[in-house]
Amino acid sequence: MDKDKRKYNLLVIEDNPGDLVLVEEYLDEHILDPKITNAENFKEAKDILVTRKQTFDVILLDLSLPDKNGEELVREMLLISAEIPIIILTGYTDMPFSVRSIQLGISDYLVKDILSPLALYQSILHNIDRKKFITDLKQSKKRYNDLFQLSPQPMWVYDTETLKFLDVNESAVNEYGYSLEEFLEMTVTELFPKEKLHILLEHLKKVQGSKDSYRSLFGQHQLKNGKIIDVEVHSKPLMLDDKKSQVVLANNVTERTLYIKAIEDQNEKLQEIAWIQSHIVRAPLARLMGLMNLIKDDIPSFTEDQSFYLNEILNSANELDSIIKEISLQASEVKIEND
Amino acid sequence: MTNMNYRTIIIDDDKVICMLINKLLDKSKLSKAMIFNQATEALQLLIDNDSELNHYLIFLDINMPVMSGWEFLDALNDKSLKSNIYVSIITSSINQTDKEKAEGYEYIFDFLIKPVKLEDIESFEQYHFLSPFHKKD
Repeated sequence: MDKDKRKYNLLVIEDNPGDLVLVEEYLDEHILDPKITNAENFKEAKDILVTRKQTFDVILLDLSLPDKNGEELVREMLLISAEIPIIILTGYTDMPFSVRSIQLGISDYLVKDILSPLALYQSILHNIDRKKFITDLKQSKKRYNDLFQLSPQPMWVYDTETLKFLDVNESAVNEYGYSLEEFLEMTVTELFPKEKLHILLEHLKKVQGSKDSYRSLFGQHQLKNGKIIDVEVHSKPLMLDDKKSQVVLANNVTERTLYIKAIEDQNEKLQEIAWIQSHIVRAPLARLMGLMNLIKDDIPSFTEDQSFYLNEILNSANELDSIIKEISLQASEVKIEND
Repeated sequence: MTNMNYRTIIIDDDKVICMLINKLLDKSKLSKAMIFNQATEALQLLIDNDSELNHYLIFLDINMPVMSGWEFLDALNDKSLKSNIYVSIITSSINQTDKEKAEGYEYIFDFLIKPVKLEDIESFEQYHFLSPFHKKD
């Protein structure tokens, strides 16, 4: 069998030279070039790990050292080993204590008398991997938690059954004015102003049977201080601690809504102006033009000057009419397409 | 088929417009019209004289106080009168939406923009159902 060529950096805490040689031989069986650092007692180990800040892939620990042993040694080692996996190597078979040390955070518990090179190699391999896996998982969990907690937009998770808040991020606390503790005592319905609650209830009813997992809702929320804001809410289902829940992102769109409202009001005024142009301003002009047309029929009885005046008045009226038509046309073109 | 009645009506709050249209009618083949400055009064006349023997040619303004041209048409729809009613809108509005709206009413056969001209009235000759409204010689 080929030896493992990867670099292994091991700290062996062992006061018995014979046992140390044995461990070194065992390691050499399967690992090409293990880098072994030896500490003969706890004090030395602490010096290497804490003072010199050396780091290792794995620590092999003898349970009975001259300056410390047993559970006290285990506890102290766990405090200074940081994230390095610790494998206990001991001469005694003590089942209750082996279980206890695993619970405390020790990675493995091996008895020297029945130890083989392969068993030691496998234990080292598995525990380095497992530790790495757990560290990755912790980091990943932290990363996702940060995405939730540090999101600049208010987010929360609520229980689909009880509608109670299960978790709320900082932005939600800042935006809505409730503390985390207050949120956790509330249900999502309490964010809705009473007269708008039907919107939420209808929405929840509608999506209950829906297969579409993504949901969004436009509505209003009430802050702790009573102020009402317009919100656009997006949510997705999530399993949180075995509870069916929804993760929600709430977007405060109050200003956007106000802005749109202002534009709509302005547009409405413009429509009104177009209407006034069309009906009111044009009415007297139409009357004037009608009258002029009647007079024009009598032109043969006019003097040359009189018909000139009349024609010029008519031309002016027609000119004014085309201007009004142009304004009215432009104003009505602003109409928003409603789909 | 005796006793058929044909009556032309102008409904417009602008008295000058009413006078102008009557002048044009005078020059055309159509008979002179009754003038109503309030649509409610015209509506009352139609209700009081409702019979399938009666035919009404109506020039109707849109923008009027008390009852607008649209309200007058809506009222006609509600009453479902037996009389035969033909309506031409006369309006100073050049708003396209007004024209589109007018096309939604069953009584409307034309849409004239003020000032109404003699040619507009003369073009009514294309509508055969209006020929009985012509002046008797």
